[in-house]
Amino acid sequence: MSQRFFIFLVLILSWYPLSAQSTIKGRVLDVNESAVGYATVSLSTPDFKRILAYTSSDEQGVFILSTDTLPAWLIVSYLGRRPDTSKVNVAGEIDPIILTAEGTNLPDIVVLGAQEAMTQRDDTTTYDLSDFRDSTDNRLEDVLRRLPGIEVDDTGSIKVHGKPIHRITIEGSDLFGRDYQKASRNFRAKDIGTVEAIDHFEDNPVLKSVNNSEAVVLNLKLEEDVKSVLGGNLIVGAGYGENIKHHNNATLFKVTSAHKSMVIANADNVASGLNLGRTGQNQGYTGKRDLSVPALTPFYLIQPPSVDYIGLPSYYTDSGNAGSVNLNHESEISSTWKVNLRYNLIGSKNTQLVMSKTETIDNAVEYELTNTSDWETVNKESTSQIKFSYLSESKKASVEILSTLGTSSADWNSNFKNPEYGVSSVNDLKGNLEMYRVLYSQEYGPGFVGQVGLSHETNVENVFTSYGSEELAGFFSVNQSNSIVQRIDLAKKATSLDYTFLHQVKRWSLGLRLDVGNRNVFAKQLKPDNENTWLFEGIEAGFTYRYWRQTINAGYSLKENVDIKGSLAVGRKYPDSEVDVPAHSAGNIGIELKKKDGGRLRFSVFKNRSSIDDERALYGFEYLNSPFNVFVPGEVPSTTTTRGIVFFAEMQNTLKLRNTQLSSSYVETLNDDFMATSFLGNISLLHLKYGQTSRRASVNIRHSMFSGITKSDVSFRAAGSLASTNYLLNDDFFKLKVLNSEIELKGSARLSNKIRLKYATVAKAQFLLDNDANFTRWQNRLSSFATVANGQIHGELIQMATLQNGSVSNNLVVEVGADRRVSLGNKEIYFRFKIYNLFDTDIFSIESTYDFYTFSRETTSTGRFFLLTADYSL
Amino acid sequence: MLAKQLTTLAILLLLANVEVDAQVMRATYLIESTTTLSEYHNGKGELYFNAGKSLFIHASWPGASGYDSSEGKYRRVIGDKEGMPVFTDRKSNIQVYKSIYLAQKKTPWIFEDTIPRINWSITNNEKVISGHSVLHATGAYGDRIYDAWYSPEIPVPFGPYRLGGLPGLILEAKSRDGVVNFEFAGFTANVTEHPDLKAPVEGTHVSQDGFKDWVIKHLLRIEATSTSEYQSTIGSCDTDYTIEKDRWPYIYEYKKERAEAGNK
Repeated sequence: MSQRFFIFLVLILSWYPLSAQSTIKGRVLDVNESAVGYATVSLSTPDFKRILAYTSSDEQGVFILSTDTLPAWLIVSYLGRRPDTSKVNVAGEIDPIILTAEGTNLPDIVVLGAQEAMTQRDDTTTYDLSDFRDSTDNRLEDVLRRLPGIEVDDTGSIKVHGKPIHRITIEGSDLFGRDYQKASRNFRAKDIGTVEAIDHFEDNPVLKSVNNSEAVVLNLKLEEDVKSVLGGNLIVGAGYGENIKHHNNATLFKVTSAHKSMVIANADNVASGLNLGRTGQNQGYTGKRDLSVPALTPFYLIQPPSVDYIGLPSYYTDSGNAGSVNLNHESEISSTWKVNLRYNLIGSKNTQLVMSKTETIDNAVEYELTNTSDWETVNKESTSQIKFSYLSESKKASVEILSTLGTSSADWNSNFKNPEYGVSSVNDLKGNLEMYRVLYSQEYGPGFVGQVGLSHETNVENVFTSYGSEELAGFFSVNQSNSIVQRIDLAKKATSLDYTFLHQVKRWSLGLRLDVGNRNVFAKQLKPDNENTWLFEGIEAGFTYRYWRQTINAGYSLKENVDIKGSLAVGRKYPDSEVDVPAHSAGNIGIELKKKDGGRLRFSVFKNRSSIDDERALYGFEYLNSPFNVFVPGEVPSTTTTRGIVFFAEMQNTLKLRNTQLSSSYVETLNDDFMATSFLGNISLLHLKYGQTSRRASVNIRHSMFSGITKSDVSFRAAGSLASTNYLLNDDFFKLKVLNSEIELKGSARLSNKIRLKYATVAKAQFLLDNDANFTRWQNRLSSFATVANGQIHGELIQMATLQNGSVSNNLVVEVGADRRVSLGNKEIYFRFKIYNLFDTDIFSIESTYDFYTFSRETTSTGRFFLLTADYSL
Repeated sequence: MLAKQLTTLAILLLLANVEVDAQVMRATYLIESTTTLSEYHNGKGELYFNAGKSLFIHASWPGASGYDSSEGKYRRVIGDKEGMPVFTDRKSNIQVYKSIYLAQKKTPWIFEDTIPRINWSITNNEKVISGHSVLHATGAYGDRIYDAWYSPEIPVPFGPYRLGGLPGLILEAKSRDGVVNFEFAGFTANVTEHPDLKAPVEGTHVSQDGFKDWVIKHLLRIEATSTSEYQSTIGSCDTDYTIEKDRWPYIYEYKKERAEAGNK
């Protein structure tokens, strides 16, 4: 009986798989029979679809696994070794598992998932620069151009979300003010870790609760290894062409949490682009209060000649000596006080020979001004600015005190020759700027902030010009003197007081501002001693006026990320003179929708009604802008009305690194006056009148994308506009209609592991409707980079052609060079050898058009030259 | 199947030509969380590892202490140049990590624990993440249930933050309450520039018991400054202060015990 029962039990049990826990023990070894510890050991079902158990081998390579399912597959794997897969049928101790390693030269595998190269969080778009930059990107600006959604033009001005940026900050601090190209063109791309594009930027903590700023800022975050240490680079270079070439630059910075400094010093005669140019040139975003920006603009009565670049890189036409020193510093001197210092010193000496021709046709009469100008200019400029900032411990009160002093001078000599005669000129321009400002901000309670501002500013310019020409003097002189001398002194003073009240409650925001001020504008044209001209009567003109202006801003959030904003400003001036200046008013209303992925939609309408620019009212005297160009005063015009509609849409995909922008606008400027020109022989007389009636409709599309796999980028832009402007030419009225179109394609592509291509092509076409005139300009730039051991070989081809009514001018230049990287301890030096203008083109020419004028210009090149530089990074 | 094996072979073969312990790999994650410290945790996370050690770094954590005035907000930041790392050493069975909870003098605390043992359940589910076949597992850590996807092709028991213990590298992990999300963002098999795979050093080393004692004493020091008109204290730590829920209950527990003792 028991035997039968036992057999029955065995038969029954044999139908079922073993269900008790089975233990498998083994050991993992390498080919040398050494233990392989921490190998991953797992048991899988025979179809590999389910893991039954897993463990790791210990230091002796021993592992133990328990399972209730056999047979099973045993998979043993370890980094860098071939995995072992074997079938286990029964429990118990198994033979040792031998893991082998095999050498191979396979390349790294980069498996890409969702790249975090670009992220969007609230109002901030963050770019991880290590995902965008490659070995061909030297300066920060080189990488900024490639970031989706960021637009950098040839002057270095930057736009984000379709708006000009307000600032570039370094770790949250504003060191450079409006001159942010000092950051974008001097920081090395490798020193910047991330770039944040911050919308609605407000750096005053007192205003946080009422933040209605529309400013966009780029905030740079440094790589960790350059924080709190002295960073930067030193460049020393020399070469030869038509003369000895030199390029020397030191860019040093140190950024800690309490102190931030950057010093830039440059001296070269190869127009390196690192020379800083005149300060305050960058306009940027003008909607945010900025203490460092003067309210008074320069007169721009007569300006020294500047190098004509003919649309090519500056070093092809500019061989002037230039030097600059720039210091920017910010320190937290206590827990509540901070000081900012900025100092610029710029000097340059430039010369150029330009052949130019200006043509226009009036009533079948062709006017042509042809002359050759050979000029030399020495410019000097220094600006110093200091700002103290106080922020209370409670963050509810702040004071900013700013002082700016600036001097500038320009001396230039020029020789003009046209087919009939020659003119030599000696010129001198001096300027002084002083500015003092105080701003006090106070939070009265949550959502209630008041500000009081006080400002005083003076701007003085002295202009001296002397033209020596018997023939020219004959046009203007009664005494047949062979020289004309003019001296004009100009001065402006402005004092103002303003109070602003800001309130934010629930979905509403409100701002009220009242400005009162006093402005004085003065001009004196000295009467020459020898009374040698009827042109200059020795006029003194000026006026003082008081004004008030009230501005109301209001905003309402319809729902999260949908805002309606509007503003209305009215003001009036009270002049002491007899000039009746009517009230000024400006209003706008707009709606903005923002998506969490960074996409947005903006629509606004505006209308401004303003009186004349103050200084224009002063120009009641004739003056010579150049030997062949005379400004003739006109009647003081009435008001100008400007109104328009602006639309902007942006779509952004941070995962696929793409950005698309579409904008369109229609703007009307209505003014009773006209831009008027007449000719007196070969001299053009520009009747200075204010404004013109014009209408302009434009459409702009821009798409940019970046590939994280190949680090390639491409951006495409197409723009078109139709403008209509009224002109008066020799008593004839013109309504000029101009159709403009522009296409731009640029980017970079990786052709292989070692070859990269950068390209930029721009085509512009302009058509004068109701007229046969047309103008086309096409520019290409192609750069190639080939990586070799410890360096690169690169070549660049730049071509620019203009086509005007069948006449073609074409310029082509080629550059070649080689870089080599040499390690010096834990530092590196880049040696670069480059030949510019390889085929020694000696003349560049360009055609351009402006309204119904056409211009032809030729300028001599700097010739072929080479440059060898050593670039040492700290 | 063949493709998967070939991929595995390719990855492992290319790694075989260098010394295993010297070769360091990197997995990149995109961290999205809604914890109190999400401003600093969120962003890019990088896991550097070899067969025996790993170092997870919050690449977006501010490096310097001070005040952060970005994004229109203004707040105090305790920076960490080491990126609030989590270091794991299989041989020593230790995990070293940092915290800024009640951190003094702008330096974080450094803690050392044994490697957490997460009781993972591997399911039958599989999917593909950027060409990698991954398997699904669920497990609990820090009072949250996680859905994790790991790759058997990368046979190391590591993952983002303090997650790990699966027979393959965790490429993706999400908490079921939606508070924590680690998303796969890249993998580099042979990293030439990387931080040393060692425990962090910049901070104040403290044991768990020592820290608890210090927190209570710190609370009592603060409360001792109270006056008849003004009560000083330290509030209980937010339950979602960090990725581990209720990570710092010391003040809450102490006050509760004190209140209960007072009622008796």
